[in-house]
Parts: sequence; structure tokens; C-alpha cells
Amino acid sequence: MIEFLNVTKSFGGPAVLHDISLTVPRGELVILIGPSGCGKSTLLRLVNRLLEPTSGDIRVGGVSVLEQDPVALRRRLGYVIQSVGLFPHLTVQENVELVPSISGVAREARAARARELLSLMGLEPGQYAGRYPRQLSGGQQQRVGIARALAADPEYLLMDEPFSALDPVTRTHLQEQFLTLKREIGKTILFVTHDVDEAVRLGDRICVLGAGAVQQYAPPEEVLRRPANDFVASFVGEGRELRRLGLRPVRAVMRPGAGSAEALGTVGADLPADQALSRLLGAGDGVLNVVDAGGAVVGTLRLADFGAA
Amino acid sequence: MLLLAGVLGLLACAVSWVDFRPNRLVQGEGRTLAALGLPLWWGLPLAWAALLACGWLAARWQRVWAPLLFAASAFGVSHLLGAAASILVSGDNPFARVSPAAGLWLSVAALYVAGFAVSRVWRPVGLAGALAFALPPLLGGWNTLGLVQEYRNVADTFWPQLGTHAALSVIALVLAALLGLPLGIAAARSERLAGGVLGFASFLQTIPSVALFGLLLPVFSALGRGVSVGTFLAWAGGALALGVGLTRLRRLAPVGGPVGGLLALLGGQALLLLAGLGLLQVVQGAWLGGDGLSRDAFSLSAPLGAWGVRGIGAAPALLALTLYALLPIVVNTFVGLRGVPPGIPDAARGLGMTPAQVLWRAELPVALPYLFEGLRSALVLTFGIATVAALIGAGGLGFFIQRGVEGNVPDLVLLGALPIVLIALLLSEGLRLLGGWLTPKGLRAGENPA
Repeated sequence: MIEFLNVTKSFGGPAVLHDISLTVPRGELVILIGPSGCGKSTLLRLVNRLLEPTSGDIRVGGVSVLEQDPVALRRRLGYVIQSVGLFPHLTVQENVELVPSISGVAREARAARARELLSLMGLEPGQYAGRYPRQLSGGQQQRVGIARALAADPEYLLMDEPFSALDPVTRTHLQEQFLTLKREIGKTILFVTHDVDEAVRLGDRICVLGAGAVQQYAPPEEVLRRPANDFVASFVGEGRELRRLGLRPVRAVMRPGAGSAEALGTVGADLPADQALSRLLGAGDGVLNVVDAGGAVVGTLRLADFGAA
Repeated sequence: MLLLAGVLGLLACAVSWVDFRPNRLVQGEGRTLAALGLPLWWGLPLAWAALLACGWLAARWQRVWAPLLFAASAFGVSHLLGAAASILVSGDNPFARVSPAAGLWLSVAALYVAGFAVSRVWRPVGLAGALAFALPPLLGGWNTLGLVQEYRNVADTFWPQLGTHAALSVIALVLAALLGLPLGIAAARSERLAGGVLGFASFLQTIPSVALFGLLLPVFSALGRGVSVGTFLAWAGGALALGVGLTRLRRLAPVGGPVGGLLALLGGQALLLLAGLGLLQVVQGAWLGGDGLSRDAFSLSAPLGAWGVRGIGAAPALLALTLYALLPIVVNTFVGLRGVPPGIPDAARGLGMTPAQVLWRAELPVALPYLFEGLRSALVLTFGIATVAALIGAGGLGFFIQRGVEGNVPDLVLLGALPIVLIALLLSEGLRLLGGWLTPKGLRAGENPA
């Protein structure tokens, strides 16, 4: 659990963050989102004391970070940044072993851990362990960056726009991979992004920051359906209903019952609803039969069904 | 490029090739190659013309002929220099002198240009050319040349002076590195310090060496006579200890850091300078015919003069060289560290590295090629500037240059200057290779991503 208690931060001038209080529940992934300059990265960097709060307190696992040695604290908090920051003079394996090696973990143990993490990130150790960062693509570099952050098996992960510098295809791919990983590792994660789609896709909860304050702190569905104020509404944008559909399966929108004889085709019941809508729009004013994983028809889907959703 | 080299080479054959003087006192008179009438002398212009024509050959043939013709030209220039001397200087006049003239220097320039051009088709051409050029002097073909005659006159002092020159340069480089690296790191760390440190290093570079010697003379003179080793050690050691202490005190951090760092640097540098002087004397005593350090120098009550601290001589020379070598080292350290992508130290800190680990394991390895480049230019620079050390009696190859200028003996000037140029070039190349080898594999350019 990470708690922010009345945190204020200023860099000499007016406060960048003003009286922020926020709790990141254990095992959840919380997104910090907002326009650039809203202080989301600043808030993240307060947790591992790369920055110090002007007033207020931050607690990690119930203990104030201000009472902990910054170096020891940071080794318990995995850290991933947009520019990755791999050490170019070290191989992929040496980069991943970095934190265990400075903490004095035995060579064999950390090498085994590094190879295990590389496999987990989808990088075949035999092929990639000996390479240098320069020899990897941007997406591969960021996977190594995540593996490096996980090497000491930290309970918490701080991620500062980790996927923002990647091209859209790689980004989507890495997001999917990261969702799977998240379920496997069960860490408490604080994740900064400026991308609403990414926030909706990955977050258990979203914290929308604006003008140095928390504008709304709620699950993605809630943020999209009931923006707390005009700021949040305009930030998540006019496309928010579509984004919300992306969170729901077709099953939640369809009209249950027998299939229609005039159906133009079938659509899976567990597909995100926005994709089914896209198919319907392409098909004109028609109807689709909804089928479950076994292929049995469980309902129908018309454009009109979306109005009620 | 080949065209330029060929034209230069042909031009060189037409102008005055060597200067001949019946004795050291009269003005020389130029002799062209044609006027000298050396056997087979026309081979050289022929080789140049052929090299020039090589420019129009297909690449396949160029690879074969250009290096061959280049080596032939290099050999020809070197051989004809020696041959001209042996024709002009006969055994009955030991005072006659033959020195290279405009034509020869032009030829060297032509060889330099040609070497560059040919190295594009055949890389090791520089080595081959150097060997071809060195062959005649090695076989004794230059023995009647003024340069070699002057060397024979001073043979017993030449090597000690060369050794002194090298020792001065290398010790000054080590001192400058020990002072410059921390300064460069400090400058890269703090915007406020950067201006001051870089400005100071540049300012040092603008002081003319003679003026610097003039300024240092009374200081070192007084230090050498009036201050004992014990007092000096106490002051310098005290400054070092106080400085280190100040930087350690957290409460004084904003002021104590820079002030303490400066004090520690000054104290440490004073100690190092003394150690460097001692080392220089030991080296001179062991190999270069100097007196070495006397046993008395190790007594605390001995005057600093016993360590060579005097108004003239090694002490001011060493300090001046150290100060001049500072700029490239400080600037390269600064630029190298500033060039490290900000994500690297950020990630390093965020992952829990201590400030020292961030510097030594993340930033310095990435900046290493720059640091090395700084050391390289500093060494080449010191090697050149060490020439002026002779002005204040510290010795070195400048000694011969100075005597040659005073006595109007151009060959003696050459005897001092040529080794400096040659060694500086060799050092530069050698260090470049070493630098490439030391660069971490992941930073080397040219290795293709898989």
C-alpha cells in the first residue's frame, strides 16, 4: 500500500502539487494521468525520494519514506522510465542483474533470476542475454528495463510513462503482455501516463490530476461514465463512451435470447463491445448473432442495443 | 588528393632542395635537385608524375600501384636528401653543413597528402611509407647531413634531454589529470561551478608561458629558500584534511562542499606537485645523469629547495605544464559527463545506486571515450609546450632549439623540434588505439545491431 498524506510540492514557485491525499491499495495498478505539467511524474518521484515533498508525508507499506534511507528504499521499489535508461556499456544480462549485484546477491543466483525474468518478458535469454542495449529495438529495450526493475523482486513498481516512446503497434503489444505479467506477479503498481486509452486498458483505478490537485480517483468505468467535473470530462474527451465500450464484453450489451435468421454474421460474446460496434457500423443497419466460446448462439446485437447500454 | 600530392611533389623537385653552407657562420645557398646532378635523381619526379597519373587508374589497379609509388617516393625523398649531403660535404671540411630547404619540406607535405589519399585504398600505407622513408637514415645514408652531424656533437646530452622532456610531460599530465578530473566532474554537477571552472581553465591557457614563468619565479624562489619541507607538508596536508572535513559536514553542504573541495584540491595538488618534483629528480638521477634526490631532502627541516623548488628549473616548469594541460582534461570530462543521456543517471538513482555508484558505474563508463580523448590531447599538448621549459633551465628538447636559435644553427633547431613532432604524433596515434581498445564494447560504433 502506498499512501500520500496531504502532500504539497513546490519548486520554489507556486505549488506544483497541492495538498494531495491518495491511497494505492495493495496489489492494484493505479494510473496517474493528466495533461503535461500536471505534476504526475513529480508525484511518482516523491515515492522513491528522487524528489522530496515540501510538506505532507508519503508512506510505503505503512512506513514514512522520509524516515527511510533513500538508497535502501529505492531498492525495494522497482523503477521504470520512459527513456529506459539502460546502461549502454553493460550487456542485457548485466543490466538486469544491476540491482541484485549492488545489493551483493551471489552471482549464480542473480544470473538465474535474470534469465528467468528475460524469459518472462518474452526475450529468449540464449539469444538476448549477451547483447548490448544498442542492438535491441525500442520495445525490447523497455522489456529489459522492466525486467531490470523486477530483478530484486520489489513489492512495488513505479512506472513513469514506460510505453510512451514506443510506436503504436509495439505499445499495444507490450501493454497486453504487461497485463498478463501484472496478474502473474501481483505487485502494487503506480503508473504514470498521459494516454487515456492506456489508462483505461491497464488501470484498476485511475487518478486524474489537474492544476496540482486530484480531480477524480475512481475505477476506469466510473471515470468514463461519470466524470467528476468538466476538467475530467474534457480530458477523457468526447470519445469516452466508445472507450467505455472497450471495457465491456459484447455479452453485457447484447439482447439475450435466440439468434436471428436475418443475422449478417456472428460475433464472440467476450469480444470488447467497441469492436462489435465497429463491425455493425460497417454492415449497415443489420443484426449480428452473438456466440459464446463453444459456438452456441446466446443472443443478438443491433445498433439500437448500444443506446440502452 | 593524389593530384595535389603529385603537383606538390613535382614542384618540390624544381625548387631549392637543400641549403649548403661551407661553415656554420655564412648564409646558406640553395641547390636544386637538377643542379646537384645526383645519380638517378630524375627517378623522384618520375615517381611523383606516375603517382599523379594513378588518380585516373581504375580502383583495382590503384590498389596495387598507388602504395608502391608512394613508398618509392618516400624512399626517394629520404635517399636524395642524404645523397645531396654526401656529395656536398667532402671529408676535408668538417664544418660544412647541409640542411633541408624548401623543396624538401614541400616533398614532406606532398608525402603527407599522398599518404592520406592512398590510405583510402590501402590502410597500412602510413607504416609502409614511414619504413621506406626511414630506410636511408637507418643505413647511414644521412651521416653527412647537418642534422646528424649536430646530433653527433651533442649525442651525450641528447637522450638525457629527451628523457627529461618526456618525464616532465608525463608527470605534468598525471598531475593535471588528478586535478582536472575532479574539477570536470564538479563542473558537470553544478551549473554554478561550471562557468567558474571552465573560465578558469581557459584563462590559464591564455597566459603566455613566459609571463607565467615570470610570475612563478619569485614565488617558487621564496618557497624554495624560506619554507622547510615540514612546514610545507603541514600546510598542504592541513588544507587537504580541512577540505575533506568540510565536504563531509552535512550541515555546511551548500558552502562547505565547494569551498572544502577547493581546499582539498589545492592541498592535494601541492603535495602531488612536490611528489612529482621528487619523482622527476629520482628519474633524472637514475637514468638521465642528474643528481637525484639527496638523503637530506627527507628531513622535515630541509628547505623545499632540496626537492627542486627553485625560482627557475623543474618546479615552475612542472606547474606551468600542469596548468596548461588542465583545459583539455576539464573540458572533455565536463562535455563527456554532460553528454550522458539523462535517463541513465535517473534510472541508476531510481534503482537504488549510491551517488558514488551512479558516478563510477553509470556515468564515467559512458563518458570514458571523452575522458580518454581529453587525456590524449593533454599529453600531445604538454609534449609540445614542454619545449619552453628549456627557457627556465628545466631542460628538455627545447634546450637544443634554444641553442640553435641563439647560435643561428638551423640543424640544431631541427634536432630539437623533429623528435617533438614525431613523438607527439606517435603518442597521439598510440593513445587513439589504446582509447579504442578501452572503450566498452557496448559503446563502440560500427558494430551492427543484430
